[in-house]
Amino acid sequence: MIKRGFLLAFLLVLLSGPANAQDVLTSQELELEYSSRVQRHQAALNAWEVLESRFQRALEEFSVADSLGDSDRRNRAFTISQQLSGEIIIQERRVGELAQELRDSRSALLTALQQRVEELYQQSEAVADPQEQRELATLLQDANNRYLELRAEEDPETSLEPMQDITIGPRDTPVIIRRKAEALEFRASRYEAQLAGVGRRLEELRQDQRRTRRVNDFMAGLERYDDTRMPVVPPGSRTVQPPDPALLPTETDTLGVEARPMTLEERIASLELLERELELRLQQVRDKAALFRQRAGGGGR
Amino acid sequence: MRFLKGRLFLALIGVTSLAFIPTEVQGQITWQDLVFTGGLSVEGYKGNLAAVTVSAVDCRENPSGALVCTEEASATVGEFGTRGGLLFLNEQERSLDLQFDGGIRQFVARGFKVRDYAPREWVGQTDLRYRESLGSVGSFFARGGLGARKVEDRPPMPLFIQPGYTNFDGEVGLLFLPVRGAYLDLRLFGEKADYPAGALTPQLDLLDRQVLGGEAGVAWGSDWTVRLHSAYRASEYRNQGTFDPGDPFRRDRTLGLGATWTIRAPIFAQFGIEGTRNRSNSRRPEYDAVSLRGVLSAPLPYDLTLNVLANITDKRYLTKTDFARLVPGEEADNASVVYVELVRPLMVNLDGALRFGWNRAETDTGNEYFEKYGATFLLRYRPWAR
Repeated sequence: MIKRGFLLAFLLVLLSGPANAQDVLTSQELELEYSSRVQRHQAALNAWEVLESRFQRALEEFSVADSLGDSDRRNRAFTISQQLSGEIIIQERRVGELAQELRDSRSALLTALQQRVEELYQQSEAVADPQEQRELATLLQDANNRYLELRAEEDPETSLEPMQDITIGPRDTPVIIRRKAEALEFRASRYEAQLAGVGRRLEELRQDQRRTRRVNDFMAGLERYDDTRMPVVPPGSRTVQPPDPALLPTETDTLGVEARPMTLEERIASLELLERELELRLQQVRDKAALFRQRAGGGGR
Repeated sequence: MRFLKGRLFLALIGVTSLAFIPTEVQGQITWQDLVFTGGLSVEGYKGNLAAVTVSAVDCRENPSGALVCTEEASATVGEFGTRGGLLFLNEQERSLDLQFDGGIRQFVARGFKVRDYAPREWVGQTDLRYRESLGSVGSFFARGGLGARKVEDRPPMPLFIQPGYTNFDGEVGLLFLPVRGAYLDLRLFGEKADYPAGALTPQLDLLDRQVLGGEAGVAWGSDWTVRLHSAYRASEYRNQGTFDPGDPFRRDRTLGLGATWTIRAPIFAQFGIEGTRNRSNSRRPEYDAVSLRGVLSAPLPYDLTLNVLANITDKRYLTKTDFARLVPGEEADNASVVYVELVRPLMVNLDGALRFGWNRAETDTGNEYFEKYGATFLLRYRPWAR
């Protein structure tokens, strides 16, 4: 009866295993797609930088024209800066969308490469011919290297790009200063969004940490005095389970070639640091925007 | 062994004291966790279980000359413990960490007929763990552990406290890369346990054992995992004779087969079933058993968390006897353990917990059993939690 029960339980567990079959593009197709998206993203990023640069020049032109009292030149510069600010917003959105596509493409390619490594590994295990084994080992090494390269290209989760400074020039008119204040306020809104994202991620990690700690505390409190093993500790009971695949240093890395095996505590600490940095920058940018508006003689957004 | 126990406690104190060294002085060592626990319990004990490992009995003659033994007792229990982990090395290719756990528990018992007992338990355990990446093959892991336990003023039944021991154990294993989403693991393990016997408790030597074994497991999933495993272990009890000169001491061969299902979010739940088939050169301890185990941790309103552990074992011996079989080295015939805990943060780094527990172990003959029930209030302090 017990044997039958075991068999039934095992069958149920086996049948409930997650399906893994996926219909995906080949790794060559994914490589091409990824390269194309890298180029498109880079091109969009370059265009964004050009627009930013033009916007700064337009502001300077406005400032110069204003100081010279050249109203035509000032109006032209004003019109250009107005157009450019709209284009910058659109371009920024476009860069964000392309970055997301790039991340998706990279993720799909990583999965395909991972499968490719597994296949090559299985093939190399299966063949007996030493020449073929060497060839497969070379291919395996190359696929693994590509996987590592891609992992290294992933976005850093816990770092900020250097903040470009915006200052008031000696010939800046109130209108120009207000424009610069708007640029600062725009930057502040981006930091706010980033801060909210970091906050959400931190909360998720802290929940994970609380849950893990409470389970560990509970079990440790009971097992410390052998209260759950009666009447004496049975043989072999101290042997713990092997490392849980779901709890390996990087949860998505099944190759054991994780790029950054941070503990949960370290990830939380890094994000807290980033949060503080963002808060500081946000405060600085807001203060500066308020100061610019004050210098420009007041006026809201 | 006494020397080893002393060293283990000193090592635990030493490791814990690292917590008070400034972080910049500790170099590359990272604390994984550090928690201090203090608690107070009220417990009740019932039963007439005849445990061979408990030498004393608490019986007194009544005026009519009949022998009356204690079948119910209670105790107030205070406890203090600490545990944590130190990460010496955490790299892509390898990691090395030390886990430690230690504590003291003081009982003040009431209800005994001969005298009031005040048993005290000292416990400590350390584990050194190592992981090495094997590139495209998977990971190698190794663990070595040392545990010790000491009991002073060990009382008679029904207040059952496990005897003291020193335990060395270790394991080496491989966790392979997934094949079609399935992780295969293999490991070899060994254990040596020594139960020091005193002048009044020579029978504790019977519990000494050494174990060698191996286990193979396969697991699926990431958000939730299912693991099937099969284990084989060979145990030797060199102080338990068989009266057979050609095969003089007891040797057991145990085959285990089990499955565990685990989910980690939004709640933690783990359910396992394990079947055990124990065969021996001595007919007495041959049995088949099934054990069910469940662990649940779920968030509740008002920042409360509910933790539950339930463990039920049913055992059937191959040969029938008319006497109780709770003899050294074996689990109870039918053992049930249930613990329920409610925990809530009181401060940023301080949790308060209220825990209720119930344990029952019984023999399959003679209506002999042991039951323990109690409530515990615990405070858990993490000095560095923010």
